[in-house]
Amino acid sequence: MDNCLGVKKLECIICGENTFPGLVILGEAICYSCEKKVAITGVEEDSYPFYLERIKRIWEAPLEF
Amino acid sequence: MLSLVAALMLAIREITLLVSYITNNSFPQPLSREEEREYLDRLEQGDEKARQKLVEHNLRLVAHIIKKFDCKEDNEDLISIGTIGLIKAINTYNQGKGTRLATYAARCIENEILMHLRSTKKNQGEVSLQEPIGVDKDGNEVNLLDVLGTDPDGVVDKVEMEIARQKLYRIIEKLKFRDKKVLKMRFGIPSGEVKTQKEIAQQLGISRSYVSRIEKKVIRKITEEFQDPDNFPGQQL
Repeated sequence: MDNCLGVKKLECIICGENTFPGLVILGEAICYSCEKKVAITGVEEDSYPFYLERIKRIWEAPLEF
Repeated sequence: MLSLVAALMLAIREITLLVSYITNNSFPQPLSREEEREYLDRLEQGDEKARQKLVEHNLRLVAHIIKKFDCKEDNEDLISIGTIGLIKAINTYNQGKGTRLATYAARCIENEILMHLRSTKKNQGEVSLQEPIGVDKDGNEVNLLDVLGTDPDGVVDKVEMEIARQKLYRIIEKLKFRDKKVLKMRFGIPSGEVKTQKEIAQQLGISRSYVSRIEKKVIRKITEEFQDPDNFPGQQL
């Protein structure tokens, strides 16, 4: 489904929700809410390893991880 | 010594392959100053595709920056950490300050990796339950967890060991569901059937390195809780 700007809903690589992306990197989408959470999470926070793991998906296809 | 050299060679080869892939293949080329300004202007007008361009055309920066870090860290982790640094850069960049986005992003990526490495180094000073504390009469290595979880004869008296055991199990029960699951599978609690990190990763559908991180984090948590004398005041016998 497209919104009025022609943006398609995509599955967010972090929360897994099918939503309008805030950011698309190499075809992988991150929803607006998750992007903001990533942007304010420090390396020592408990949720950081989770984001780190999910962000790897961006590089999985191009680098064949 | 030979295995250390082999591991080092492998790490260097991985980084070289990664950088050469990104440099020679179809990763978007860096933007010129004019292009960067054009996309930043479009972004200010609400064009989200401009934002995508700005991120993708700076991905090469991540690979070039991780090359500078000569460390044992997993390359997959470093590149992911660098990407988080890039996302942070895009979210905090202020065109009005006159610095180019690429310059600002490079600093953010480097900073993110440095912060992560510092945080890892700090944790290295903590005591692990897997820390070797000696050898038994057969010459097998004994670690702190062996002592806390097995037959107490010859280590400390039985009552103290029972208190320690109860305390350990109570701490484990307080862990988050996945952390508890990883710990129990890894150390065979209570079945005694120990699983490898790879087996756990397959069963839970996550990567082996993530299992490793969970394991380290949980052991650190347990150590902290265990060393707290006021942890279970009501349970002291």
